Amino acid sequence: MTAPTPLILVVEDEPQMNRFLRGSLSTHGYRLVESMTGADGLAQAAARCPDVILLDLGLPDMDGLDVTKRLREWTATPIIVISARGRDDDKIAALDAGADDYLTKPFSVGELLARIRVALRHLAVLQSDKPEPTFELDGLRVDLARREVFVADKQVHLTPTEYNLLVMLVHHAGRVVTHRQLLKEVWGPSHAENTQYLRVYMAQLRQKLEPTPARPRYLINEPGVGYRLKDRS
Amino acid sequence: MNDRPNPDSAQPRHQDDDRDDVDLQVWRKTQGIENTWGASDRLLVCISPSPYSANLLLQGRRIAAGLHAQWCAVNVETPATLRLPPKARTQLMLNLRLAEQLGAETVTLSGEQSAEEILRFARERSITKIVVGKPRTRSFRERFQSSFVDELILRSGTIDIYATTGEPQNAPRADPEPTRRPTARSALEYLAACGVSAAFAAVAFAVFGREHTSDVLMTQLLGVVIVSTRFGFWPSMLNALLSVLFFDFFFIPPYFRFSVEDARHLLTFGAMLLVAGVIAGLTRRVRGQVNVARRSERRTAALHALSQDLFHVQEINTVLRAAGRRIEGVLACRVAAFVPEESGTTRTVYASDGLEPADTEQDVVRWVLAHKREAGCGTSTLAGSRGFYVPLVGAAEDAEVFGVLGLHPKEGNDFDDPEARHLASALARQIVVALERGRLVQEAEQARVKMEAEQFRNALLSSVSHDLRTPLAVMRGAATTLLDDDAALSVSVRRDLTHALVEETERLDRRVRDLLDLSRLESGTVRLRKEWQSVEEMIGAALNQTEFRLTGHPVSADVPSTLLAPCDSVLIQQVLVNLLENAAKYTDEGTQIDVTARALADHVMIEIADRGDGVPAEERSRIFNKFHRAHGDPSHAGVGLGLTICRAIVLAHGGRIWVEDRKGGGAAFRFTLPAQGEPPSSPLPEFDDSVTSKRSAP
Repeated sequence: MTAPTPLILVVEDEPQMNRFLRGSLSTHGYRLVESMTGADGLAQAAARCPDVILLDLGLPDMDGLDVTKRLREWTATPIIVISARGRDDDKIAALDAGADDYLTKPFSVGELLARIRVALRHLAVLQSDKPEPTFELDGLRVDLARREVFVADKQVHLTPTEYNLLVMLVHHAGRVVTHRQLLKEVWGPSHAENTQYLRVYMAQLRQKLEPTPARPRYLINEPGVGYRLKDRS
Repeated sequence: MNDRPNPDSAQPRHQDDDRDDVDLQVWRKTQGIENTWGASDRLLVCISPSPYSANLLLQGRRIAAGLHAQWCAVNVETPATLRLPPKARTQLMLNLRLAEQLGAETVTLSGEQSAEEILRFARERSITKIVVGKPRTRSFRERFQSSFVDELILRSGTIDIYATTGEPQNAPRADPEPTRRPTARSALEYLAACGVSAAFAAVAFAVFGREHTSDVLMTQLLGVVIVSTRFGFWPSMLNALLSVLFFDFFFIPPYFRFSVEDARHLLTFGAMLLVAGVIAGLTRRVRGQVNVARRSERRTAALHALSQDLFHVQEINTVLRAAGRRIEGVLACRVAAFVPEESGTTRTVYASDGLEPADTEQDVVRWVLAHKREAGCGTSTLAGSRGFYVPLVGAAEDAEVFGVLGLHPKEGNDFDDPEARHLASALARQIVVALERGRLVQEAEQARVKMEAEQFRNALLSSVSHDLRTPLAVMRGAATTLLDDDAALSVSVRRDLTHALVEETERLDRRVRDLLDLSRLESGTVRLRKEWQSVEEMIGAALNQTEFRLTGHPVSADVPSTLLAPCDSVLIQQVLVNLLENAAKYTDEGTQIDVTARALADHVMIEIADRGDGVPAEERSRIFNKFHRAHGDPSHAGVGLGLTICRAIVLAHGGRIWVEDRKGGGAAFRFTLPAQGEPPSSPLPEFDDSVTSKRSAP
């Protein structure tokens, strides 16, 4: 871990949940700032500059989605939404509003810690201004500098669209990228609704990258929400 | 203009005091306890075409309510009633209908003698009391014969007779009936009667001359008999009179004069007139009976045919269509059936070929719906309409109107004939009975569904409380033990308890999720987001999600990568996850699970097959039911909603889900997704298909 202990802002109004988070996160070496309301959360985010923000959507004073949007107006700090709202609509809304990740209650500490680690790693990349030149995962290697893709040391030929799609997922490795985000990024804003394109190219990517496309190891489909490239760890 | 007695004004019940309503309530209460009627009184009210019968009926109802008795209203059709003017017939129909509205059973008897028929019926039905209208005056004929009431009282035996005056204090005097105009047909008959008498006189003269007066008399009598059996009463009498005159004029001295020398001949004349009168009278009576029989036969046949048609149908549209087709034939008219819509308009359910009710007719239909009375041609209301309209309304006073039957006469017949209208009303009542039966069946079905829902709710509550509390109990127990500082717990015990805690939370989580999913699915708040989805992608996601729980089960997936199905990916993925978890839960570790997907003619079939014990035949349909526990096995205890959710989702997609035995052992869960139409065409063209690595090598 980086030198100073990472600071995590928890915006959550449920005392028991706070108690659980405090206990489990501090034992794993994180510092915590707690906030019971959205307004206080926003103030704390500005005052304490946390490394990661854990945000509950159901806050007493304002909706978590609005908190996300307000935060995104001025900070790129990773936001992990923790919510009991498990519908894919809620997930998409939170991710499209700028959240980095989404965890549905109840979740295990292991899951939460993994998501925090992914968030911190992305933060590190973001702050270093030097994107990692290669992405490696369990036999899959993407050389971002040379625009080359290897599976089990054999080079795979991708079309430009397929490659752009993969790179988008690599940049967000470990996190869900919504259909909309992928379409906007790869095809442009006017195609944000054409999920059909995405489905076809994802199928092609799976065919080219996955040893058994029906049991994908790298490209994970989050039904109704988007896609996620598995991350190391 | 409104010369037809209007039910509202002719029936004093609307102006009557509140007692009527109280009586009615008493009567209705007694109706609920039908069984107690066994030994009590039964009342019969005799009704006639008189407008005063309405009062008689009201009195009858009061008496019946007072005695808590069942009652009926009876009308007797005699040959005499056949000759009633249309207005009287209409009044009779109104009386019968009022009787129904007041809760009486209405019966129409056919016979020669009213009193006799009524008493026979009364004995058949064990009637104890008869209410009859008391005439204020006696007709000329009744001065010599015993009247209907006298007859009834004389022969009634043990039955009590209540003779009341049906006449209300301020009742309007009935208008004298207009006499019947002679029709063209009867004029012809008179002419023929003259011709026949002249012809027979001529023939007798030619054959027998003046010597054999008895033979002449017999010949002329033959003419009288022929005319009497063929024509009406009065033409026959004319014929007889003319025959007598011809006989006297031509054959009895002094010839060519009407005077009679021998007074004995007067006896002959008298006998001749008497024979003619008797034969004509008998013929008329027989003909009358034939008419009564024929009409009642026709009515019975029509009602029977209709009841046959309506026996198996209940739904209003089907009933009306079947009835429409039948009535077309029975009444030789064009039929239209209308039902009221919630918006206040009407919908035409059935219309005969060539029938296009004009817009003006819609007004009549609306009027009939609003007033629950007949209208249109043949009636006094909106008589200018092309059709005759009958409301389809139950007998009860507050009965709802099911619809309106419109009858459009074809050329040559019309609904001026009250008989035709009466038959139409009878048919309409039959339809109403069918509709009411249909509604009762529907209500019974609703009650059944409600009861089942109630049972389901109880099952849900007991099941949920059990399935949610068990994990909670374990969790609380484990947690409190861990918290207990006094207990010296070994490390392994601590680990065990902690594992139990984790497992139980997962179990609880799954159950809560299942319950939420199911209630969302069943409440209909889930909107299917159907899109063409890659089946491979959905199966991949499901396998990925169940990876942990499938540990120990080798899984093979055989899915064409191009296979697409229009579905809601989130929901179908849930089906797959549930089926996979199910397979893992009910099979031994190490056994294989196979996932296969295939495109068939017009659907996609997905199969998840295991190598477990399979599902017994009798369980196969039940395992998709709510709260079914496989094999009653307590080790797999759980609310068992997984398969129910699967079924709800697959059905919502218009597919089918079932389980069958697998070749070589095991169960194969299969479901289909309809895949009609073409998936959207290929995405944006990609011109540069070059290899990425070569393009951007530094």
